Amino acid sequence: MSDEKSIVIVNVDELWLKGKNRPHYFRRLLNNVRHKLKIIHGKDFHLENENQRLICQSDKPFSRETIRELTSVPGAKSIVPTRKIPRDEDKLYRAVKELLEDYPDKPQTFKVETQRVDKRYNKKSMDLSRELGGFILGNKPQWKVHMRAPEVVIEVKVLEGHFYLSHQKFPGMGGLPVGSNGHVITMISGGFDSPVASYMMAKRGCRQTFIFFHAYPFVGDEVKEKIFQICTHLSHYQDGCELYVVPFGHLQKAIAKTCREDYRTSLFRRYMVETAWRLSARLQADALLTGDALGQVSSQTIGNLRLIDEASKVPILRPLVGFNKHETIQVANSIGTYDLSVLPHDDACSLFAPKHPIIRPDFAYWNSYVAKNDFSELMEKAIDDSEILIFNTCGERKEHVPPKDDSLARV
Amino acid sequence: MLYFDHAASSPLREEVAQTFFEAVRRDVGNPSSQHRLGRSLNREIEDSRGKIVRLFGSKEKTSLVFTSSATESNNHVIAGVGQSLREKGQKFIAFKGDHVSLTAPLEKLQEEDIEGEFLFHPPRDLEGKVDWQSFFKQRALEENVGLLVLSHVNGQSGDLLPLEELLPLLRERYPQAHIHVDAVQSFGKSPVGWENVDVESLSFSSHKLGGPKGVAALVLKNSAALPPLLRGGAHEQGQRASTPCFSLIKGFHKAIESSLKELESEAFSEAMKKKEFLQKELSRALEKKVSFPFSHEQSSPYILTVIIQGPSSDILIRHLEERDVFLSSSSACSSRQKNYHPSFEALGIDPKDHPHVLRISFVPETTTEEMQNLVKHLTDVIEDLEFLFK
Repeated sequence: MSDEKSIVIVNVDELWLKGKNRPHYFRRLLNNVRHKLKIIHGKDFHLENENQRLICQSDKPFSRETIRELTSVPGAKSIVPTRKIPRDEDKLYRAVKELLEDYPDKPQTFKVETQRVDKRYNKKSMDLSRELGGFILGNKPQWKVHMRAPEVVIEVKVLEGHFYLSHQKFPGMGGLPVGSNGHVITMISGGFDSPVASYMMAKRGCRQTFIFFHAYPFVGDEVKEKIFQICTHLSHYQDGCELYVVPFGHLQKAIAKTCREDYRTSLFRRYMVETAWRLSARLQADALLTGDALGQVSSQTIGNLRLIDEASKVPILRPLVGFNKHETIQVANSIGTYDLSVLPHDDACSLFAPKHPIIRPDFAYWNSYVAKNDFSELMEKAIDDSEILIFNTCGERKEHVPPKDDSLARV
Repeated sequence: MLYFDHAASSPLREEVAQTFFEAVRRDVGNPSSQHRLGRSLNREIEDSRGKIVRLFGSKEKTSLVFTSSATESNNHVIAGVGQSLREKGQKFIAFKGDHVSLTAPLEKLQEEDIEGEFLFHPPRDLEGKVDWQSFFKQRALEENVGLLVLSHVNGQSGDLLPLEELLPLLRERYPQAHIHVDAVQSFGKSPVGWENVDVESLSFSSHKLGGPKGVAALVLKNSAALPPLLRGGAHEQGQRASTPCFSLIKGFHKAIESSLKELESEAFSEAMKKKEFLQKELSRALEKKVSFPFSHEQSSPYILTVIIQGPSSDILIRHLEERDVFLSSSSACSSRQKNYHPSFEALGIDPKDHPHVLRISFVPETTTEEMQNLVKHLTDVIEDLEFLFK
């Protein structure tokens, strides 16, 4: 075993759809995997495209943690730890025997799947499967063959010089590699929705820069810690990302002082969207991304969304627009953001919240307010004064630009 | 900067900084070493110790241990006397609303099955006075009280215990008890003849006096003795094994000297006038929005706790800190639980007011001009946020 290399195979998802663009997408996926491996596994590895699969090889065994990290690569359909065995059936049988030692002595259903990638191999796939199946039953008498829904699937691939043997397949995110579908600005909050929205678009290959609107001095700095944790988690689905913590408390106060109480929350959203759009212009991003679900809160009614959208000159992606709350929670649970979002935090919304938030805004009032209240200087300054955190693809904070000293309060 | 959080900590006095930094440079060697360097440091430490002890009583019956903090001093006394309580089957009496460095080690004694009681402060009459005589007379005669724990000045409310009146009463009633007084907010700030204060132990801290953090005192009077908190060397007369920090002790000593000098110069009565001034200014500016839950004579002149309706205290504090104005909303060591403080409730503040409590604390150097500026900033911030609280 000592001269054998440790191998993990990354099966790709939708890339086969991409035709002429396939090499480009594939290269992105390969780079994303490479960046992750460099950080979590070290420099000792070799990546190769083999028959539309990504083969990762290393002298150093790939750890559980590494395999788990690879399941966070958008575009990877499954991660399969694999043994590469010289093409000698004795050695194959020996390897299968070692593999069986990992399993406890209790009843299990299984099947063997053999695929001859090298069609010239002198044995038919079915025959090899059958022989191996018999061998396995000999070693594990309590096991039973089950063709349709076995608990254990032992896969053998026959290539020109060697066999690939595997028995564990870890599902990946699927979708498309990050960076293959543009750059969006994700409006992140401490709630359940925005992290799920971020995950969903990461899955479609959207590179994301996160923007969080910090309501200090109306809330304390503790809420930032929660946002840092959420972005740390989401950074695993990115290939390096940034978080902008934009000081927004004084802007909210300025808006609240000059607008009708019932329009407060919707107008806050509007100016947050405009600020996010301004950031997207600076970073040449293609769209904004939010966790809005239609009608979930007052600022998410069609009337409000229609007006809020006018604040951005780039499209606003809303992957959750048709989700019911419990559907969002289900995804949040499955991706692990539920436990982060559920932690309580200081919410300025309750402080500013109007008693009767507007559901069907009056266009005339809205447009005249926006025309009279430019705030562009304040928004640009807020971005200038932002605290910026830079994450790598394995959830580590790499750099930190602290917030500027001269806060908006001194203005 | 307008710093009004002196009850939490006071910045290093200029002359203390000089003494401290110079002592840091001279701090070569271990005071326990036999050679000249060690002996020289040790001599200066003992000299400081002797001078400070003299404030509290004769050197035959009084001793002083330098600790790292008043919290450590309090813990040391309570754990030490706790052993004796256990052996003798005695109990303790303390007060609710006192600083957590007193209540927490006492609660630990309770967990270890030592009996104890936390009393509410008795109500004040119209003149703000407490009838301690009646308060204790009303209690059933207890013969087995082995420890009494008192805060001379409560750091949150500023409430001042009249020790001249209270101590003789307690001695008569609980002759067997070890009396410990936490003097953190009062030593060096109020003119007390400490040598006449009849207690077994006292604690006070350096950084509350404009000295360096990391050093404090535990004074033992009436020949009181405690088992050591830290074992492992003969330092601090066997009371606290640890290499003493020469520079911190020198800084502490200097801070004590400076504070006592200030007291000689009428600082205390001036402070009372300043506190009244501050209270008047606040009432004038904020009218019905402000109330003073602990406004009475038996109060430290340096601590003013207010309740302000409208924006919660943490929002006010954050707005003020943006303007370089610093206050606190509760004892710096208290719980992080939002909106409810058990210690506030113990002091008689209605839970609905807990999010609105602010503490303003100052020192003799604080000027009335600074107080006026504080009031102006506070008023500006409250006016700015008024629209949210209509």
